[in-house]
Amino acid sequence: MGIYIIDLIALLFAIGVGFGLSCWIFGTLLEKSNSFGDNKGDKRYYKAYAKFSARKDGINNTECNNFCYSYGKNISKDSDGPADSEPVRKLTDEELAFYNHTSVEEAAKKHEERIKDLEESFNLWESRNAKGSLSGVFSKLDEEELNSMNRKKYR
Amino acid sequence: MATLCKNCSHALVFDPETQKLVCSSCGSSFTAEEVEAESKQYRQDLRAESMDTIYGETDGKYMDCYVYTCAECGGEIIINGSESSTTCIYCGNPNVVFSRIARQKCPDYILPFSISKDKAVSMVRERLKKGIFVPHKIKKVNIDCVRGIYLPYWLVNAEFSGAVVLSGQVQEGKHTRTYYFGRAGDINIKNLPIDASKMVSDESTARLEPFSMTRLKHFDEDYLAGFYSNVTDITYSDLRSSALKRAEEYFEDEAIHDCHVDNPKIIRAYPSIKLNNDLIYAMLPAWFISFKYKGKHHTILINGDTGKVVCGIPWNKILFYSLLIGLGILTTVAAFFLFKYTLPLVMAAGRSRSGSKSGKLIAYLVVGIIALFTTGIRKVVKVVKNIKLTQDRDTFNFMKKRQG
Repeated sequence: MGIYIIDLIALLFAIGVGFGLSCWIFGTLLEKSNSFGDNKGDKRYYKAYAKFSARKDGINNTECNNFCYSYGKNISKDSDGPADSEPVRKLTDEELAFYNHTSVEEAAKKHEERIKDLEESFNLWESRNAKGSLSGVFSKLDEEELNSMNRKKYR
Repeated sequence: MATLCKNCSHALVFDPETQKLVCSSCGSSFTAEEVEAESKQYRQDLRAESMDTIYGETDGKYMDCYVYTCAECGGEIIINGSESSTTCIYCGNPNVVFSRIARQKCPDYILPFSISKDKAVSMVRERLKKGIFVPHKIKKVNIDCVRGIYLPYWLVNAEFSGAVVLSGQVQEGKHTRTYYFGRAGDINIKNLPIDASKMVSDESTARLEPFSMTRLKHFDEDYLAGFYSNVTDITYSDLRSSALKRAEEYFEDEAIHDCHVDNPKIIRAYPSIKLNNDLIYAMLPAWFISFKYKGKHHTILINGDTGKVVCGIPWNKILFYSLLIGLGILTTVAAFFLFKYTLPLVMAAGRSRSGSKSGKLIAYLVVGIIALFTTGIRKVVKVVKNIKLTQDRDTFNFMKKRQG
């Protein structure tokens, strides 16, 4: 009788391991075979790195409820801009000045800086491309990006 | 409505391989900058008429459709309210609706196509050919329709502020305990591309990323020649919610990595975003390739700049399940004999002093089995989700409704 119980337990474990392994292997193969481009733009392309201002570990239930209200900031209420229902459009320097509460000159200067900021990367790419030092389509990672990637790698 | 060749007055088409405007009639080629500036000033649209006016409808049956006349052959060109370039169905010549990209509506930048139509199709075919579980019929499928479309995007600078509480498991000696963690902080996002077209799902367009923004060019309507394009039609509310969703994903991802826990789960979140009003309007390239399989339309998206293919392909279920069950049975038999002879030893050890060790071994085995099943099933679910996105009717209609 004891032998039969052991056989039964062995069979149950064997089914679990056998079909579990098969499920994992073929799930992975199916993903590689039939699903392409299943990822979005990585944060490093948009410099979207979080700077944490508050860290609390091992908090209890009450603190769980209060944490978001204590540390969350509603910054969207500070923003001024066209109405939510309006179609998105490019704003003129006058409109930018009005919504950002600055002078027209200041708004125009900031807009130029924004364009310059973007175009600097074009020039960098062009010069590196001309020198033949371009390792890939994208520009080289900076120190912060490299650190972030390494953190991920060794975690 | 078209850019004409200086030598023979035939319509020019942008060639992604040479990055020049090419005349199919006399073979001349020009860069976008070379096309005379003064000729651009005189290119004007013929007055468009609403289809409701033409057909005398008052109930808005043809709402948002406009009729233009082809500059080359005089044929009727029908486009919807947000299209800005198309192809004439009669003569095949490219036509750009200049009034839709004029002054305030004009994009700041454009990323010209680098991948040609043939290359896009061959890339897709190659991918399909390599798939083990891609049905034979799909590998040899007739592609219904290929459209190169410039999608409108807003490049957004934004400040994000968030606070999250997450739960996660921490190993403490023999036991695993669940703890709660709180993280609050900010993110400054630069030039995040947000899809400015309501007609394609954000989920699909976000997967086309990344685009190489370093190769953006100042907008010139000549790049549109030979391709379709749309102008922005989203509201500030749409823009804000799309940007918030993306920023929240980045923040939660960083918060999870910062906590170093197993099975992390966000249980509370307080996100908030402030968009910079100074937006940059850009047109980014994508190929839409469609085919029909088992009565359903599938639309494969390809990044027209990097060649990234985005799709989920239906799988050969008979082959998949027969292999899964076959391997399952084989491994079960092998594992049965392994356990049959090792389990009595483990149980015997359980009765002796090292009982806790053998119990631990069995617990690990059970956890391992559950992990194998859940990982496998999760991967299959991911594929199914991707297939549904490829079968999305809105994406198909977005491409198919264009004439040409």
